Amino acid sequence: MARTLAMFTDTSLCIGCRACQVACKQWNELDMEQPEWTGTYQNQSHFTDQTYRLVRFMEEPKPNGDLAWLLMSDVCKHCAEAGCLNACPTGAIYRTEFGTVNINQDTCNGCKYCVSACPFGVVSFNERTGTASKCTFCNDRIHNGLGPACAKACPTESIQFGFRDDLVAKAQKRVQTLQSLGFKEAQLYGADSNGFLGGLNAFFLLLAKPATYALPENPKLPQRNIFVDSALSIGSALLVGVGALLAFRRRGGEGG
Amino acid sequence: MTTNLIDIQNSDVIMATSNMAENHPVGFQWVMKAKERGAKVIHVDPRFTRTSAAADIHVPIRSGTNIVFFGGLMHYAMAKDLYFKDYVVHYTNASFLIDPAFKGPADLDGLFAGYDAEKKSYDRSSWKYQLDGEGNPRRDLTLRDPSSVFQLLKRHYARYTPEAVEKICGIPKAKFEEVAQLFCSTSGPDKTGTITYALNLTQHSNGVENIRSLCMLQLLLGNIGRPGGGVVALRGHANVQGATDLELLYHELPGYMAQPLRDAHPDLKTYMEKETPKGGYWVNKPKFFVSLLKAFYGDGATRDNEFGYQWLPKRAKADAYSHQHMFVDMYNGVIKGFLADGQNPAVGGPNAKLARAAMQRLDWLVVVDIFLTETAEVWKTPGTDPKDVKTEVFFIPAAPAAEKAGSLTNTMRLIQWHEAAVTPPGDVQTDAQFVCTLANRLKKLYAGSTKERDKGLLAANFTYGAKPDHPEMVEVLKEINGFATEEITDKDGKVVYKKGQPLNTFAHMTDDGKTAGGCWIYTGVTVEGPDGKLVNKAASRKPADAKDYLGHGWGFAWPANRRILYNRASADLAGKPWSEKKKLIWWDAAAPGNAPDTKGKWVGLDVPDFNPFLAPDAKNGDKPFIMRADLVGAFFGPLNDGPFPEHYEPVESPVKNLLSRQQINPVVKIWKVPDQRNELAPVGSPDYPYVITTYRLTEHHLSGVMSRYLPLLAELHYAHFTEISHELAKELGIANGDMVTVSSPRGKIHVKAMVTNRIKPFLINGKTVHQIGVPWHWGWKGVEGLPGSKGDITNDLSATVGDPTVFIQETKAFVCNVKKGVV
Amino acid sequence: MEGLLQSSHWPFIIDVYFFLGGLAGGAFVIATAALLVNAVRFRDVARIGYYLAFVALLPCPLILIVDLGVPARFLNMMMRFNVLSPMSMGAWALAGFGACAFLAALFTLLEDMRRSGDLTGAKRIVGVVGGFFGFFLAAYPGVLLGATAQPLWSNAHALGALFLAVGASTGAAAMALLLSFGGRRSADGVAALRLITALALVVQLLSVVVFVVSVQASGSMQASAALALLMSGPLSLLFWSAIVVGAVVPLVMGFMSMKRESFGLTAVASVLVLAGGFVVKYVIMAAGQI
Repeated sequence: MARTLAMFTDTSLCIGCRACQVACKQWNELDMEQPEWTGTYQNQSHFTDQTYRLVRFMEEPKPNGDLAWLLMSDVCKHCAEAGCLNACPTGAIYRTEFGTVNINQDTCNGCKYCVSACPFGVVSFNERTGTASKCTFCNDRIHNGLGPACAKACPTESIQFGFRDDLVAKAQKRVQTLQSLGFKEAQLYGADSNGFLGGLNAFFLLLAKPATYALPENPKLPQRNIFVDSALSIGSALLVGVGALLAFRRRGGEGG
Repeated sequence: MTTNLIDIQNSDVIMATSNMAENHPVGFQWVMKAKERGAKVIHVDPRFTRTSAAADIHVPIRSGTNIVFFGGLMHYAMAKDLYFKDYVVHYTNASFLIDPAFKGPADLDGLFAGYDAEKKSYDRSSWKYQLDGEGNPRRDLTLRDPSSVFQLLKRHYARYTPEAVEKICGIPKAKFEEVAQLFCSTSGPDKTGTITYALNLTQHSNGVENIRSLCMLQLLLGNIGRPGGGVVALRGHANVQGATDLELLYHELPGYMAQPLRDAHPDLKTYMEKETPKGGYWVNKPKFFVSLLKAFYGDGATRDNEFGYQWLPKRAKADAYSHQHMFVDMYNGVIKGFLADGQNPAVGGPNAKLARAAMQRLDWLVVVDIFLTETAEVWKTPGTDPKDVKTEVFFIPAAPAAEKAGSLTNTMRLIQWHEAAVTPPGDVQTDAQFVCTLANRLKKLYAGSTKERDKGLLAANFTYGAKPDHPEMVEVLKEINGFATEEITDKDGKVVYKKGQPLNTFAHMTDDGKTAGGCWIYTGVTVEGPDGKLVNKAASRKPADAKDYLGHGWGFAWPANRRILYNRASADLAGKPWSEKKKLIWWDAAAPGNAPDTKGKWVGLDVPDFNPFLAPDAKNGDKPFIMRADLVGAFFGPLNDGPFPEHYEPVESPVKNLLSRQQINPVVKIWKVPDQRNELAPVGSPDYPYVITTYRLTEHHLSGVMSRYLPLLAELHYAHFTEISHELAKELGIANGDMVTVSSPRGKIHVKAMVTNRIKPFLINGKTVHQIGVPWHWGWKGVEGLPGSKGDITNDLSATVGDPTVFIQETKAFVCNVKKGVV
Repeated sequence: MEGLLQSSHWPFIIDVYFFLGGLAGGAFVIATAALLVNAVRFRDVARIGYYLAFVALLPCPLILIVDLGVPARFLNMMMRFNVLSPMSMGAWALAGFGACAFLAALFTLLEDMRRSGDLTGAKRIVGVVGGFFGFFLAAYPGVLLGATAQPLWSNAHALGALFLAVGASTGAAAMALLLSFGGRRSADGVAALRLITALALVVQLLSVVVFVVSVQASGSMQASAALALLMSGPLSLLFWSAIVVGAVVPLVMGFMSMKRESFGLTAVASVLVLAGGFVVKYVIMAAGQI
């Protein structure tokens, strides 16, 4: 396996210009959509089958009462432990040699299970093709030595592309700088490969708590429940199964 | 702009007054770089925008009160002794003494000396320096003389107290003082600050004075000509700078030389006498001007015919040809034909309703554009019966940038070349093809003419390269650059330039017809390489690096590839950098001079914007502002509306001017247009109680021609909208997403209400004043199947009023009403 | 701030599939239990159970194929065996169970048409194998929902148990209902089925309690909000009806008819159980996807 690639989205540098969103659509040949009225500049409230990069706008008061307009370019996290990949019954969702997570459109069967299984609401269902779709990490570009289109288009280097270990080191330094500049809540999200979901290959620098960005504080792998749920199911199966045998025995188990 | 975008990274404090993150996102990377280094960013804007989001401090300001804010900062710097004294004393005209007859608004209740109420103009005879016996300005280097510019300045801005700022701008005193302290911290040798502006300051009835006020603040703090300093003028699109340099303007010829006036400039000699100043680099104007005429008329321009001077169109009046003048004239039937080349005034200009009505009265209209714009379809404006429009309209499909080669000159005077990526489809022409073909066909029509007035056209050359209908763009650039029209030799007879060889520098231009040059400041952009081949420096692409942080190998910045103008000011009187941290160029006394036996040269990180061999202790060796006749930065700088910027309320305002009885700019231009086409609301009108400002969004471009037709851009905003505060929404019962009607005395539009915390009402002199914001990108055309790409025209609300110096419209501050629903 | 989670928005037919699959699995297991205990006395019970399982199962693959849009895509499921994906395991269970249910029904039919001798042995083998698949088919949708990111489902831990219990209760109730029409001939079988129904309903109610408690205890705001849809929100009428009318009432009726056998009472109770079982699955699906 090649060295893991990553995207580091530094929201402290994001100016919400949405060049990433447009570049993503253009490169990946995604269609125009009817925008949704979100009450602010954001044009879709969440990811769609035609929006893989989504700049989100959040008006939040700062601790000192001043207004903060938090801007964040959101994208598929390419989780090291990916709920969608685990959930996929056909193997259409796979991990590339660069550590990114992709959906093979030819083998996707359209069951939509991955849509529910993504802790970040990334995977979307394309009604026209009947398959699931999401950010490909510009799979074609990275296999030809280029970075993703969004990172390329970003004017402020808010989206950076590179090897994961390099980017994490850079990101950690950046958090320290920001904290020394007074951004007390500056923090990395998903950079820690020992943290949730084994770390995200698209990780973020946030200026406030993840919840402020509508990100789960501690996203969990959906499949963590399978063992307990299965055990309880087996328990009730035994209860009902043995109960049924006993019930028939009681009402005429003898003779024939 | 005096500096360049890359250098913003060296700023310690950046004061953005425009919405730079949204409208100049690529340049904004350098603001973010500075921020990464720990610089502070202040954003002064009525609205909290994406720039505010990236800023440390957002300062909400009521639209139309910028001079009070900058004046307040100057007052603060002077009152607290925070200005950069050495810089101010030596590099500006602060020490110059002014005619004792001069009086200012502090004494004359808002007016300057010499006001003629009838003509609505100033007699400027007292607005001048006191001269000594030799004709040099008298100075007081202690700055204590009450007639000194400094003392006059101090007195002028004494009224601009933090309390006044709070009452007029609506900026709380504490916030203003926080910002004042922070920005004044850039004064002195160790720190620098920069100020960015765009149409936020220009589109006002005192637009030029707005800009002057911030330039003066920068002079006061010693921030011009130094790394991390400067005035960052952000242009409205990719090539506005180029359009200005080449002067697609009524009052100037390429290279910032006046378009001759019919009566004042009857011949070349008079023009030269009147237009050439006695001091400063402009003493060379005759060389630039004659070279320009040679570029226009080629061999037809000779000494005997004043180099074709008489063929130049002359202005009958100094001011009558601005954009706004034109549309009023069109409406009044004075102008009968109109060629709109890449412009969409049906949407983009002020009082757009008037503009459309005016164009519907034309005999003919030619529109050259990349889409069928509202201007191209003005004859079927919604609500108009095409049968009632007699205008004959022609549409010429044009090639966008990617389909043509050429150069763009961006906001930082940087000329960058681009090749055509694809061939234009079908009948689509490039601009150069269109212009040259049109000119050559006209020439053919006039071929036999012997009339004097036609000789200029016939003499002018419009053929570049072998194929007349496919102009070779490098040849155009070479003509702009300038070249020798005949062999030029030095005094020893050695050939300096072969005939036709491009000039290396405008210093080699002459006024005898031996050189031609289409725009003198561009000279040096194409030169001849050692191999005799043309080197197009605009196409060079060596990025900035640690050795050359300003990136001199990337494109070519006029003049002479200087990246920071007036950079002599980065060094002290003795020619040493003010501080090691802020060094840019300095005097190297040991370096070889320009003659074998001399030593000393200006060296450093940029091309000196100065005579490189003029020692600091030589005469004028300590005067950095070489383009000015007096060689120093001007605090006292006469414009049509006064030598110091003074606050007046916008032409339409909900409040009275609290500084003087002069409610509005006393010399403002307000057009009277028949048929109630330019009605204005009186001060404090209850019918139009709210301040409105118009603006752009990142996702759209200008009147939308380059964005509303592109699905992936047009979908980014749901629909046309207005941003209003929660407070106003509550008063009017408007919910986020409701349709509302915004009206002014000129028109009304229906848009969606975006209710947001990012707009807040102002407390002006104890009274709540609401302000709303409306972007102006929409028109009735757009992407089929995307209703939000189409919308009402915001400029139907704005008025035909103009700044007295350049006649720019006042679209950043006027008044309106807002009603819930479509009414 | 509202979360960004997206939901699969599975259509109503998937609810029908979950219900039918559960019912088929439950009926099949109960039929096998009857067959194992006394193949002669409970011949009708096993017969009706296997036929019912087969018939209830028939629409299931059709529903899935309709939902996937392109029939051939169902085969993509068969290219991979992914133990971490309940969807994958469910697909295999459906295939395995389909085979067993077909064979069991076929053997029963052959016997009924007297085309063969006694096939009890074969049926027992198919029954035991298919029984595992059957219960798997009943339970897996619950485990599948639990293994998503949807707050209501992923914070609950008894959905598999609940779905299995609903499969058993509805399977038993459906068999009891059908056998009731056979009159006194099947009295013992019906009585046993009533008992099994009661037992399954108890497990079902316990699972609901565990479901509610685990969601509450998770501390997830979004999960609690979704739960509130069931407990007091727009879905509460359906939810409480399913609990009270669809489980508690038939449970009480079941105990009553144990003392005094009444086919009418059994029939009414069975219908309530079937409706309740469907509704409880439906509301959990609905509340999780809003």
